[in-house]
Amino acid sequence: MRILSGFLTLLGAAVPATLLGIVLLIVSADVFARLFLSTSIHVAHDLAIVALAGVVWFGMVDTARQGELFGIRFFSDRLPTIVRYWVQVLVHVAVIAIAFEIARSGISQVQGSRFTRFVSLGWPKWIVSAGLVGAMGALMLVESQRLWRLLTTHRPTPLD
Amino acid sequence: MMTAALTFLLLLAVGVPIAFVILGASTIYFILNPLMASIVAQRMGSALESFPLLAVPFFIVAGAAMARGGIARRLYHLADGLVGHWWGGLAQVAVMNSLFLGAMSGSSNADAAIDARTIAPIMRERGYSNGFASVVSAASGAIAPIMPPSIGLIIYGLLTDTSIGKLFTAGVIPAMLITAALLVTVRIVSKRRGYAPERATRLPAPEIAARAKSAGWALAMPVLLLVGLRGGWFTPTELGAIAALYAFVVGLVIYRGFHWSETYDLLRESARTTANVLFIIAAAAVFSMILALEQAPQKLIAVLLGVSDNKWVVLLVINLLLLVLGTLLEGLALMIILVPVLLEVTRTLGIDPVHFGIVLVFNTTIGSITPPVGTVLFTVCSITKCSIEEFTREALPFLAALVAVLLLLTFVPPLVTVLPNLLY
Amino acid sequence: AEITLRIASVNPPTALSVQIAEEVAARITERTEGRIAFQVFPSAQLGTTTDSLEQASQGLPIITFTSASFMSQFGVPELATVEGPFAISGAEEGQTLAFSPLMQGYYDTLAEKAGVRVLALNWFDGARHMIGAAPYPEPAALEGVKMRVPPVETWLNTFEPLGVVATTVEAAETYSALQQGVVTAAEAPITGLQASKWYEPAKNITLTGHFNLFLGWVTSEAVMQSLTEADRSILMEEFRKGGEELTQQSIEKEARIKAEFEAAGVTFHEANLPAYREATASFWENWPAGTYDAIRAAATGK
Ligand code: NA
Ligand code: NA
Repeated sequence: MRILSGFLTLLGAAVPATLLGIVLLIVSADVFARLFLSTSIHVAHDLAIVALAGVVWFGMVDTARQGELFGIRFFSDRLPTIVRYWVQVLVHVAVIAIAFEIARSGISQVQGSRFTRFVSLGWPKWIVSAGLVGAMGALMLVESQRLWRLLTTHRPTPLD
Repeated sequence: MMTAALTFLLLLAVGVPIAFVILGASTIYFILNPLMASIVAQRMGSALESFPLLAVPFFIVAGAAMARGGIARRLYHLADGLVGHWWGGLAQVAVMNSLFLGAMSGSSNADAAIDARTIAPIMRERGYSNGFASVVSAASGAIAPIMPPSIGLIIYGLLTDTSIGKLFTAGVIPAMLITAALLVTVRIVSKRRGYAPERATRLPAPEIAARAKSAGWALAMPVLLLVGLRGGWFTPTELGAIAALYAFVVGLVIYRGFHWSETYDLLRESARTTANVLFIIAAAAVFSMILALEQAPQKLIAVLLGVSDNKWVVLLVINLLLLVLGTLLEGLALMIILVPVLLEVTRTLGIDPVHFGIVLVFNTTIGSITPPVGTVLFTVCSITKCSIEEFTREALPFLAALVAVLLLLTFVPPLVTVLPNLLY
Repeated sequence: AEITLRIASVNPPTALSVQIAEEVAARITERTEGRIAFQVFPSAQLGTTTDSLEQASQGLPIITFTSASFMSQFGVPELATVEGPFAISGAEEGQTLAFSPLMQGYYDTLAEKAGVRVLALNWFDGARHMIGAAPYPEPAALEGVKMRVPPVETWLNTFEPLGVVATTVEAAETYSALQQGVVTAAEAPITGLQASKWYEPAKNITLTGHFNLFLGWVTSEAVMQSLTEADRSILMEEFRKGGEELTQQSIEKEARIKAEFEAAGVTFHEANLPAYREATASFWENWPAGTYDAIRAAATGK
């Protein structure tokens, strides 16, 4: 469990934080290079865009762990406790299923986009989809953890 | 399409996170209408391949650094000295600063992110409700896409072959009107809530001067950014990065508001906010592709336009339809899908494309604040941790004010066209 | 219809290329007696050009608007050379080159390697010129000028030797960038300038005509193979004809647009073309010897 949690912190928090720092620095560096050195950092544009995708994909893992994903609880909060409990279970299962489908789609994208590249970096575009696959995998782990906790510790009895 | 729509509503109602609601409905659609296994991932990835989108994380980091580093506190301390004797003074400041920020940024998300991070916490400290602080941050963001520069107006100009210079000029008076309407709303709501003035009169001048002096570096920030933008040092998107860097360095080195070891926390928190908002934008891109494939909004428009051939009735119908669609769909995507159809209509009815552009961009901006799906709403709420329900309750008077301005701009075209006609 | 092809473009519906494509589509549907139907999706409604190309590559019935150098990343790098600086003198040579055995060879390689079939890459929208705060009659005038270029090899290898500060600014932000001076120059065809309105903030156009883009339409090779021989040639024929129409109309439009621009306060300047040709000649050093001569021979039909 400690290893899993460490892994999720690395992937969901350290990686996006670092990438966000890189985006900021490279775009600022390009501005300064243009202003003071009369030159432009051509890779800045592409690098910022690739890194942004990383921030978004992996940042979702940490967001899910902190329980900060947006949802409308207006209706489910008005349900009786026992029904609400099973609706919550259902929500986690739905997120896992949808994340699984996105990951599958990402895998076909990695296999299918053989040629396209980020022009100035020369990197293949499938790395963005590969990141998405990795992030969805980690997100499924996070959601499974939360589902497990829900099933084992918070189960309401019909008397509640 | 029907199954996908029903899936959407069902997942939304049980409380599945919004991004997964959109993706779930899209997945169902592509299971029923197979296209290519990789289509969802492909569209999500390419939706983020847009440089102007970077303004969102930049302003999120800038806001976080301003809040932690002490820039925000000093600025609002000064503002409080100036307008603390008004009803809802801080909220008034939050609206005014957006007019200023709007002149620098073209994105309502970026502007709202700054407010939610900087002024909303201070408002909470002074006894404003979190919902009210969040709504003021979000609603004042609506000024940015109308006040030039504006990404939305540029895209409209490209889609319709309209002069972007004219569109930019046309935005100035409406931006002022929106600001005025929000200021009035803040005042009315504050009075009713009893967000009383902090003091009976304005602070004496020497005290204001002392506050201004302590805010020197903070005051220099907007000045530097505006000079840099007008002077051609950086683009509106790059401005976000420079703002973040400035706030970070001043907060760290000069104001010593935080220690460098907090950098990681600051970035981690900002990355989460960024992810929460942009993941929904990526998901929305998949859904808007489905709408395009199905030509659904076009069909809807065609039906509604059958209602009348009176110019004013048609404009009203278009506005109402867009407001309704805007509650569920992403504004820019909606505009890209609908503009070709709408342009045809406005052309036949002789509606000025500049006038229509401002109305359209403002309308879709309102859509980004309205629940359940709105990117500005999500940006703000993910920072302030305000629930969508609380936000919705507090948003009603502000939405009413924004819609009132929208209708005013729709039915009094000279408010929009007088400046561009004068200058071009 | 037996098959419905989706025509996808990142250009807005007001673009001439989209409007002519709609006419081409209507003619094909008529000539094939309704066997081939079309749906048109402008403004990137179905995603980026890359998205559409990947879809075509995987056998989806999609036709997308692209250019030769963009296609070069799909396994045929040589396709980028036809868009090199001063590779052709104008649209007339372009029409010849686009259907020359040299280019046909590239198209076949493309179909084989990437599964993408070129319908026609002869939709010339006019030579690209330089627009900026000042005229650039000599290459020397470009020294240190901040010019907006896409971060694509063809542009970088052409413009960096000229001493410009090649700056990447997204298309949607270039108008503001020119207005505020983040960049002081850009380059585009005259017809493109009319749409992008860059002539509002930048009032000088230097007629360099440095590039001619081989724009046009490509589709899925698998889909093409599923059609009958006769339908296939109708498709190719009409898209070729559409390209000729676009080229012709662009040329006619240019004269009108120039008058319109001049009325809006834009000044046109002649450029010292031999000097420009020489200053950009190093572009060809990135390619095997003889590349330039082969292109010239194919373009002039010799
Ligand atoms: Na504000
Ligand atoms: Na703005």
